[in-house]
Amino acid sequence: MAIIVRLDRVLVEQKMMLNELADRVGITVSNLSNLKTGKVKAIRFSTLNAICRELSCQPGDILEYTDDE
Amino acid sequence: MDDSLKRFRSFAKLVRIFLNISFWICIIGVMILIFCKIALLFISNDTIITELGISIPFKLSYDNIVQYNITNDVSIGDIEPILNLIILIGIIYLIVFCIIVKQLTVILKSVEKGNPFNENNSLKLKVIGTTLIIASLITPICDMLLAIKVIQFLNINIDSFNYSINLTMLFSGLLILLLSGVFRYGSKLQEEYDLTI
Repeated sequence: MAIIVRLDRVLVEQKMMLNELADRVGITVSNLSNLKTGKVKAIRFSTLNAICRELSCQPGDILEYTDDE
Repeated sequence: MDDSLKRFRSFAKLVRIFLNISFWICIIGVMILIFCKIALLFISNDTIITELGISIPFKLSYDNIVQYNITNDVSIGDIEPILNLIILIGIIYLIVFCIIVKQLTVILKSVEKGNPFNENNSLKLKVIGTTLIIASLITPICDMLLAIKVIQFLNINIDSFNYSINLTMLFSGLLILLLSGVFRYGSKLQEEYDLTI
């Protein structure tokens, strides 16, 4: 997939642990871990909204598009 | 919504337990029929059926609609072809039933766990559909053969026999095959949903 998730980078910048973010956003740690490793197929706007709110960032900080070709 | 879902899952569990019991009763039935077949090999053809505890008159029917009373003494040799066929047909029907029931119990187990839409259930439904379609062709043949044997025993003159596919079973099988496709699509949607956070 051409969309890369840079959640780990933002977590380090904000000095937040994955399980803390999961608690604040209201999703399971395994789901957030799947997002971090790029295993999810889709993300709801409500979830993206919650993550950006907690990490004080923009969606573009978390999601990056690269051309596979 | 949660309450109705809980009730539905409880209902699925109840049905699964009932089907499990039916499955094991059928397995015991198959074993009993096999035992009867083996026992028939050891009983002399000249043995009169009253010696085995079967009272006269006993009823015989080839279509389950008209029943004939057999009033004279009958030996095992006279009715052995009918008994053999009844045992064979009984085993076939029970095996078909067991296959279908076993697939259904697995499907119901996944319904109980709240995960009905998966690839495995689609395959199980395909097996049920295929079994029903094959049974729709085979069971009328079994019924016809038994009718022929009973009619020969009763010395009734018959010109010809009609063979017709069990259409109810055939259409049920086709419908279930269609349903397996729906479940396959459902499993893809479920996977998409599960991988959406």
